[in-house]
Amino acid sequence: MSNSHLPREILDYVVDLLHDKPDALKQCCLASKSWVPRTRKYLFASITFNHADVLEVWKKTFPDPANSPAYHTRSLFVGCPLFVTAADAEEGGWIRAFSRVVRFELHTHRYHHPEISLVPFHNFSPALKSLEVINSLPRSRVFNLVCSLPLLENLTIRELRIFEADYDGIDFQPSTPPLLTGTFGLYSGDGTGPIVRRLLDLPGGIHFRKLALTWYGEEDLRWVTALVVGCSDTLECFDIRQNPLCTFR
Amino acid sequence: MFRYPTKSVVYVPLVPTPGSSTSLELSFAPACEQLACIDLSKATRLKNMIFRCEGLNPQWIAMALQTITSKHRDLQQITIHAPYHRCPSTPESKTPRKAAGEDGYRQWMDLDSLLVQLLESHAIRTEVVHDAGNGERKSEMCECMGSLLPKIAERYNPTRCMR
Repeated sequence: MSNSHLPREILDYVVDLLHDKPDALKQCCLASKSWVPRTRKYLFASITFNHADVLEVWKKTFPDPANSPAYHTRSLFVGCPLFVTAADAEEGGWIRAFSRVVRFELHTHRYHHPEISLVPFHNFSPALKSLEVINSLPRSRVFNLVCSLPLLENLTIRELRIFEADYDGIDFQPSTPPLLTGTFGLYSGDGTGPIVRRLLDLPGGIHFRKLALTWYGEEDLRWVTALVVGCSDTLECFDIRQNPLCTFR
Repeated sequence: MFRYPTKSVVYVPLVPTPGSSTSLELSFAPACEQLACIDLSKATRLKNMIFRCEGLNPQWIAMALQTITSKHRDLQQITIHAPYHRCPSTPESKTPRKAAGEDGYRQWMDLDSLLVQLLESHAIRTEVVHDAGNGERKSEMCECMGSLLPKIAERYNPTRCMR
């Protein structure tokens, strides 16, 4: 289809209207090469790497990370961090191609491997504001990642079971501490204490406006109070759930 | 520097605003000093509080609400999520009172009184939320929560379905 008679702004406007219709956006890509850049903004806004196969397809399709549509990704889900970090090591900074991600979700438990390093994810996107981790690694790795994200506002940590030692001996010292001004969510079967303690020790403190917590036992209630006190100057919404298996009498 | 929690938790009693009813003498109040409880007294900018109850013993909620003071001037809403799976499915099989047990039932009555007191002392809304849909279970849940929080149900009729 020729679009030489239509101004760029009109074409962009048409594509913008189709932002939530991926099939239509794909058809736009086939209609004209000149439509491709605008459609990429929406087609690649949310990317999921939940299996190694998906990662391989991406790498084959976009062999040059610098020119891949990763630049358009705003929301990134990684469910196979072992393979993603391997790709990053192979191609020298592959993860950093996703430099405009605002929301990042990381699951370490499905392909659990104690050697997974989260260092390649450190500040991979300077724009990152929300981080959600389902964690099975030493917590120090998660908190080193948190410390590397200066604009981080929202943090959610879910833990089913920690397989390794809580601390693996490395402390990342951030030049700029994370903002932590949005929502903090915590769901930990191992108790809230170990995570809250680390959170309260973060340089720069915590300034959350919302806490969304699950508690299991009486000890958790004390840590919940510690968390409330820690962000008492900013806290506006307090959302707490009693776990059905909790031990409170 | 932040101080980590110790076994003793400071108990801050509810301070009524001028003109409001006097503090209630709740049956759990003495125990609050010994038991762990969530202390919200320092979080005076709180606007919304949501308590998701999964059991028929809401003492932990009442203990947390007791730490609300007259300094919580921004408080707008308290939401209680009903323990859907713990509420008896039919009134014939078991009443909420029997299901909760005497201790549990007394805790609900205490929570009910405390909520009323908070509503009178602070200009806030209270919601009791369940996820029973709109079928038969909805009326059962409303009835169940109505018997566990009778004053709130009678005066403010706050129950709604979250779906």
